[in-house]
Amino acid sequence: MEEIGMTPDVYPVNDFGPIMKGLVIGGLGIFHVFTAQFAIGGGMLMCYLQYLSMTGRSNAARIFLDSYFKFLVLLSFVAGALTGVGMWLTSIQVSPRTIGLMVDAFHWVWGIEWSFFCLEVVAGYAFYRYAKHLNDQARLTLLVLYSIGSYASLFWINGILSWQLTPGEWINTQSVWAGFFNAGFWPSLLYRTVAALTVASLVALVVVNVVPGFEREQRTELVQHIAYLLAPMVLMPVLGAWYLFTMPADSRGWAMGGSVAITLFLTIATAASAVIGLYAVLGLLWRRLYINGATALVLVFLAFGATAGGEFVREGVRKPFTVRDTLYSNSIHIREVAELRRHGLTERGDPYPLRDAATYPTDQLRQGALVYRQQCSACHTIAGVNALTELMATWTRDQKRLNIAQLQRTKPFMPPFAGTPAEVEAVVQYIEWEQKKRPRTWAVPQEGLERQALLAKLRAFLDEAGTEPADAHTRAVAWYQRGQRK
Amino acid sequence: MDTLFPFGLPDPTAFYLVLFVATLIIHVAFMNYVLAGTAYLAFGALWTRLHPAAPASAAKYAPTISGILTDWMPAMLSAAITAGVAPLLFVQLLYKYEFYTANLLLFNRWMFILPVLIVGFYGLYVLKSEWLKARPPWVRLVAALLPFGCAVFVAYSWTENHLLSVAGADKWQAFYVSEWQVYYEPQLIPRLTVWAFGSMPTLAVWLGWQMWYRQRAGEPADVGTVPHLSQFALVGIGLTLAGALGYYLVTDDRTRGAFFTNLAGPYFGLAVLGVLLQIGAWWRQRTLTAFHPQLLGLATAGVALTLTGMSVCREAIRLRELGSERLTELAGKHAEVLKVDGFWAFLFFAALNLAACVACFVIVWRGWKPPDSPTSVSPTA
Repeated sequence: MEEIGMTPDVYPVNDFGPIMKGLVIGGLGIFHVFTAQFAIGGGMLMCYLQYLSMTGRSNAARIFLDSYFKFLVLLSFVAGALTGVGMWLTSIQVSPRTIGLMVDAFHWVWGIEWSFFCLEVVAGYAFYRYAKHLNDQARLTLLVLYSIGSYASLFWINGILSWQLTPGEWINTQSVWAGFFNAGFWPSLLYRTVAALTVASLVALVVVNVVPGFEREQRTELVQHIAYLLAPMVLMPVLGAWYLFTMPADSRGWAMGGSVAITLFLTIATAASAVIGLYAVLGLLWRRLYINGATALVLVFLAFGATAGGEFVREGVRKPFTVRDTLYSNSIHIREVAELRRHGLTERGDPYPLRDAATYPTDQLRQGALVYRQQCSACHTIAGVNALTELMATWTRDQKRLNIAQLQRTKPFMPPFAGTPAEVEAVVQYIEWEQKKRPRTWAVPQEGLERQALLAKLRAFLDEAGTEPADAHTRAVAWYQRGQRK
Repeated sequence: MDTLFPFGLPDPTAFYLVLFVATLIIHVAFMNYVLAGTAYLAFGALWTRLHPAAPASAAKYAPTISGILTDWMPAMLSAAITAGVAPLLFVQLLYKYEFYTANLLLFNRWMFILPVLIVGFYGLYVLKSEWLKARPPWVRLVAALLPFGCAVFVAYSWTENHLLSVAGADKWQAFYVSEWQVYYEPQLIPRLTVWAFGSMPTLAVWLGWQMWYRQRAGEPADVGTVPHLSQFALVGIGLTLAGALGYYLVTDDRTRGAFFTNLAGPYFGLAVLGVLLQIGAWWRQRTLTAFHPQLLGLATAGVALTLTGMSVCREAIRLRELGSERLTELAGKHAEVLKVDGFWAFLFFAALNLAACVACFVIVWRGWKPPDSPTSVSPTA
């Protein structure tokens, strides 16, 4: 049986210039997650406000609710919905094989998520258009349906996203439900729930200060009511720790100091959340302070920073995979590496020739450029963000040969090199050529015994490192292979 | 592949194709409202700008239609986008490599549909805002043209993407090397015009029902609205047929032949029958002063038949372009994908959510406050 996602198709690869592909999808993803969380938490907040209004606990809640909902529709229904579609299209640009595998494996789950999204849109627009003409019970029912739709969207998509890091038994069984209810599912869901409540509440605190027509007492009353929905933030440390605990050990290691960038982003997310949490608990809930629009806006920006940091960590700790123990970041399947060591990707045939093929002085450089395009360009650029020329600026040629051949040892969050010794040498030459600003002439590769000796040395480097990911993954891979044998 | 759609296809392929076509039809129904609706508003604004002294004839009907369109357009675009997610999912299951390749080849140009859609979407909210009513005429004109321009760009891009996805490996390679991000072939514009002009009769049906509902609710009907909308639909059908003629002239025998295969021929017949039903319904409707549900029902059935027939023909052309060898290869992948769990859960939740969506309308219907109830509470109350 052909395994899902094992298609041998080679896709055209685009050059994003100096921008790392991850930055494009990350930037869009952070904005989308933030607006989606706003929509989800907003639904719960509005149910609460409608309840306050119809039970006589707050006179201002109804007016505020209608204003807030317009804001939510304009931001979430437009930019939020379209960036959701945008995530799909951007994922295709960055890693078509990854999104293809996700669609194949979870298309019915995606279908379920879509059906709840339909409910969210229908209930949302029904409230948006007719709320002013409806009785309280109808308003509350529509808001509850809207909240169910939006929260269920989170529930279902969360299973797919957390599966990418902790696919668990899915690797052996390909069972949708084993993959969906994975180790990270519940902590991730609960953490995102609290985050959604936080984002929606903070935006509400801004809106309270912006909507005209309220007396100061009414604004104060609303602030105090809204602040209750920030209370669950006290659970964030526990939920965050739980989520970290469910991560594979190596992934947790990146976040806890193993990778400076990931640790830094985790620190930013934690610090921003802590500031918001402390302000909410000590200031708004305990001291019952009022919050003005400017302060609320600062807290919204902090929440955006926390979301950005959190999403960076979530994406980063998956390295070197996009789907753990299945697909590497460069879209090479874990089981393809051994074969690619024998017959490389460039030798297997890439139907898309280099666009600037004529500018390369030698065939070896052309081959190196293809290797870079297929294996490196998903996460690196040549001379922009995370540039290979900069990362290897101080390495000697032999260092490059060793470090690229043994990539997973060079950096444990790198995948193993999936190519032949000739491809290692080609990409080394290509990077050096780029480092020297693409001169018109370049040394023709050695021939005869000298070349054979070099390739034998590179083969030894490759064999020594093996075809499996870094040591931290060895146990998981062995377990996966045992499953395959069954 | 030479049996009536979808029966001659391998079961998994047929299953996903039926789902794809069914969801695509729903998406197209909403999308047509947006495409033709933005066009109506744009050309209406242009007409008003060019003939400021002679609005009297238009005033008989335009305010009603324009009012409905500006009011409903954001919701309908939202519905079109939401409904578009399902066929977007199924097209990835069916033709993953082809679809992804076209996406990648068009690159930035393709991705540009996202900001364009966002601008167009917000433009629709601007169109219905009170703020715009107080602006000078040229601002109102620009505001009306903007969403239409965005809709046309997105429609063009999808047609371009679709044609590139079936162009084949040789053209893909050449396109990739050329570094072009705009794909063109002679059938693109005629094909686009068929779908774009075809949106006019679909919009007419939507609007007909909306105005019939207002009529039923006792709102006074504008004199001339019924014949105007009927003429709009008939002109749309005429333009669609002209576009179809152009499409026939520029396409090759292979493409034309797809319409007359056993796979798609009967569906093409349904599409033609649908057109005839629409012509009959609107021709009769144009002589009346009020919208008749039976005639609207007939026109709706005609639109449904035409959309269904043309959607199947669209797939028949694609299958023919891919060829039987590729289709066999794809069928194997579809069979693998079909083994994935979750269909029954999907069916359960889809039915549940459909019921919940219907419930939203019932809630609005039943929860309507009596006219003497206060509609809002003063902020200072």
